[in-house]
This record gives sequence, C-alpha cells and structure tokens, in this order.
Amino acid sequence: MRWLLALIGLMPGAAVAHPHMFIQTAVAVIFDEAGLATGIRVTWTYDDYTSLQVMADVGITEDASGQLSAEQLAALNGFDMDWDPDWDGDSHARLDDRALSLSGPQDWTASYADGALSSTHRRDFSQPLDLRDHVLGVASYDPWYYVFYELSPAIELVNPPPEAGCRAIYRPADTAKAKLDLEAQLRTMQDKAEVEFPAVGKNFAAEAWIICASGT
Amino acid sequence: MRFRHLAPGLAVVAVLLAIWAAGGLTALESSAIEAQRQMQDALAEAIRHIKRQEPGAMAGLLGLCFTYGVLHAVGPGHGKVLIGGYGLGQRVPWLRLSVLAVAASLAQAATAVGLVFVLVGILGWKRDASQAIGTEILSPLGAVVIGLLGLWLVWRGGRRAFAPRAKPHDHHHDHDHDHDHSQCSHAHAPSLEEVEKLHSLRDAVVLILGIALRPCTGALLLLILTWQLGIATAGIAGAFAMGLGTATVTVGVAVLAVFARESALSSLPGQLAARTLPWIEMLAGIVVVLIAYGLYAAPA
Repeated sequence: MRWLLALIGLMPGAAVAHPHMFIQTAVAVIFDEAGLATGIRVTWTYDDYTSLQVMADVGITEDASGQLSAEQLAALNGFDMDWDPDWDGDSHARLDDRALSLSGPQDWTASYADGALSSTHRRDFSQPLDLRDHVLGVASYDPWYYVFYELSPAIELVNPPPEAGCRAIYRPADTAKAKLDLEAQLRTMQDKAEVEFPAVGKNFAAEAWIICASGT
Repeated sequence: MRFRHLAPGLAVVAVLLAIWAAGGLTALESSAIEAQRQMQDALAEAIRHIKRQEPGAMAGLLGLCFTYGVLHAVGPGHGKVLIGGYGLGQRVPWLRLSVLAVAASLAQAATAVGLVFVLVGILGWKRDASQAIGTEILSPLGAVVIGLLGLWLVWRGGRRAFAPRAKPHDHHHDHDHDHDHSQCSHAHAPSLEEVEKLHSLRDAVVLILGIALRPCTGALLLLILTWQLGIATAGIAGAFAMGLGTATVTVGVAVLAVFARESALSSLPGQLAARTLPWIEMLAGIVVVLIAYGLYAAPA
C-alpha cells in the first residue's frame, strides 16, 4: 500500500495551480519614538489584468488619459481590505525564529497609475519590539500559489532609531533548496498518510530582513 | 516470469506519472511564473485595445489566448493526464483519441462560456461568486466523474485480468495434435481485436464530461471580465482560442500515449500482449482514480 500513499502524496499536479494574480509587494517597517518597531506597512501593486478585473467588478474604468478621478479612487479604497476572518493576509513576520502575530489591516489607501491598482495597509505587532541583536523577517506568500507575491528589494525603514544602526536586507528565495526540500517532504509523506500538499509558498518567497546591530 | 509481462505496463505508467509530476514541478519554475505574468499583462493590454476599438485588436487577443492555452496546458490539469492515462489503458486509435482530446478542450471552453452566460449575464453575479461556482461545485463534480471512470477502468481491467482463460486453449491442444498452434491461439485466446471491443463511445462521453466540468480558471476570468466590460464576444472567442491551445498539448499527449502503449504491446507475443492489456488498463485506472482524488482534494 505504501506506493499508493506515495502516489497520493505526489499530488503537485493537482494542488499547485498556476498563479492567477501577481502582486508586487513593498514592505516598510515602522518604528516609534522609543526606537521600537511597532508594525509594518504593506504596499500591494496588482498586475494590470487583475487591476482591470477589480475595476470591472465595481464598474470603474479609467478616463482617456488613463487616470481615475478622486471619486473613483475613493470608491475603490478598501477594495482588498475586506478579509475573511480566517485569512492571515499573506504577510508573515518573525523575530529570529519566533513567528509574530500581526493585527488586522488598518489605515488603508488605494491608488492607480499606469494601469495598475495599488493599495497599502498597516499591520501592528502585538507589542513594540526591540530589534537590537535580533533579526526581523517579513515575507509575503500565498501557500497555495494562486497569488504570486513579488517582494520589492527596496525595503523602507520608517523613523528608525539613528543610534541602533538598523538596516534592511533583501533575501531572495533559495529556490534550488526549496525544491529539494519539497521533494524531501513529498518523500516523507509516504510514511504518514498525509494527503495535503505542503504549503510550499513560504520556501519560494523572498524575505525582508531588518537587522539592528548596535555593536557593529 | 509471472511478473515479466507487467513490465511494459509499469513503464507506461511511469511515463504517465513523469508527465504529471513534471506539470506540478514546472509550475514552480520562475520562468513559468514569469511567462504567466507577461501573459496577463499582454491580456490586459489586448483588452484595452479592444475597448478602444483599435484595428487588429481582436486578432491580437485570439493569438494571446491560444498561446495562453498552450502554456497553461503544459502545466498541471486540463485533462492531459486523463487523456494520456486513457490512451495507455485502452486500445483506442490515435486519431480517435486526438479528436476526443480536442472535443474535451472545446467542451471545457463551452462550459466556461455557459457558466458565465448564466451567472454573470443572466443572474448578474459578481466575479467571486461566479468563480466559486466553477471551483467549488463544478470542479469537484468533474473530479467525481473522472474518479468513476478510473474505477470503471480498474474494474474492467481486473475482470479481464483474472478471468479464467487457459481452459479452452489446453483442451483444444490436448485433443487435436495436428492442429496448427497459431490457429489454435487465434481461435481461443482473447485476441487484441476482441479486447478492443469496448464501450468506447460511453468512455468518450464520460471522459469529455469529466474534463469539461472543470472549467479553466483563466477562461472564466477572461469571460467575466469581458462580460463586465461589454465586449463579451471577444471573451467567448478568446475562451475557445484557449481551448484550441490546450488541445494542441492534449493531442500531443494522446499521440504519445498511443505510441507508448503500442510499442510496449508490440514487444510482446500476441497472446501475451492480450493478457497484458488488462493489467495496463487496471494500472491506468488506478492512476486516473488517484488523479481524480487529487483534483477533488485540491484547494480551489
């Protein structure tokens, strides 16, 4: 029966769909007056096709010069902020190896340029974090790959404490390693009758690292 | 010795699994993702051109949709493995299987058109709700149909594989010594021609239905968008162009499957080939059931 379970485990053909939505993600880390990191602001820029779809859903089309009016933008604001309670927003933060919980989206905006819709939202950590001698990692991914998030290498630090020497590093995904891991995971699945395809999005996602090393 | 005649069947199933697994893994390749993104940007551009009623805009969209279909079908889904599995397990001629593959792809496009016509055109539903009908109701239903087809192949192959067959041959052989051997086996062993007499029409209908019930997300999105923008005919033409693009890949798989099966069978003496076929049929059936299960369990 083992080979049969192995076959069921090898369901990538079914479980991994092509992405149908592409989102350019920009991450900004926000610091307070005390020099503690309080949360992140996430900017999502949708691909042209998805932008067209979102606007067609609410019956909004750009004018001849490719612009949206202030009223149209106001009507669109929050178009992607009505989240299902069980959706985590596809943004993931960690302090070293500890996953951080993020608040729901707040203080959102919407804009439109060159045929692409953008939105931003803020998500707070449950408590302000002292980043000194730690690594804060932020990544965006859809485990199921319906949405493909592409992290911008330009990571912004908002109001960082000057003396802490904080810097941001763009860490591209190690896709070669991710693929090896995936194969290994599929192999071990033969032993547990685990049917669900592993959530591979994480390993294939780039990560923003914020490091505040006071000593260096 | 007993298992040697299983080897061609196993080889054929291995090829099938390779096609299938490759589909899943290539979906993760950055080049595939980049191609998909460029395709979406180009689609958006083509739709803007049509909206502005620019000359040649329609041809541009159709060409894109066709390419989209080809690219998409190379990845997972779209009945590729089902057509392949069926072609391996059944002695269906390549031309008939190819026609079936084209019919299934076009039927899949027609399902998407019909679905959007009813839900968006008549009922005025929004994108999310319409898409949900496709992914949450029709697709699982298609998976069930495909699963039943797989079980049917397993059952049919199993019945033939385990059916008593040696008796008439031995009987004849013992009592009539000057009888020609080849004639003997021709008269009494199940010949390939006999095995071929299958319920192929019913199979074809079930296969097409199983594939057609799972409308392609790309076609649904295009149809809904063009409907909302008031250029529905462009979307319908585009959906069928996608179907034709998909068909080029499934037809390729169909021809490949038939070739793999025939070369495996021709490497065996006639009678053994006839005995092997039910096993291949069973294995192909098992693979089809597993795929159906994967389709059913897959997140929408």
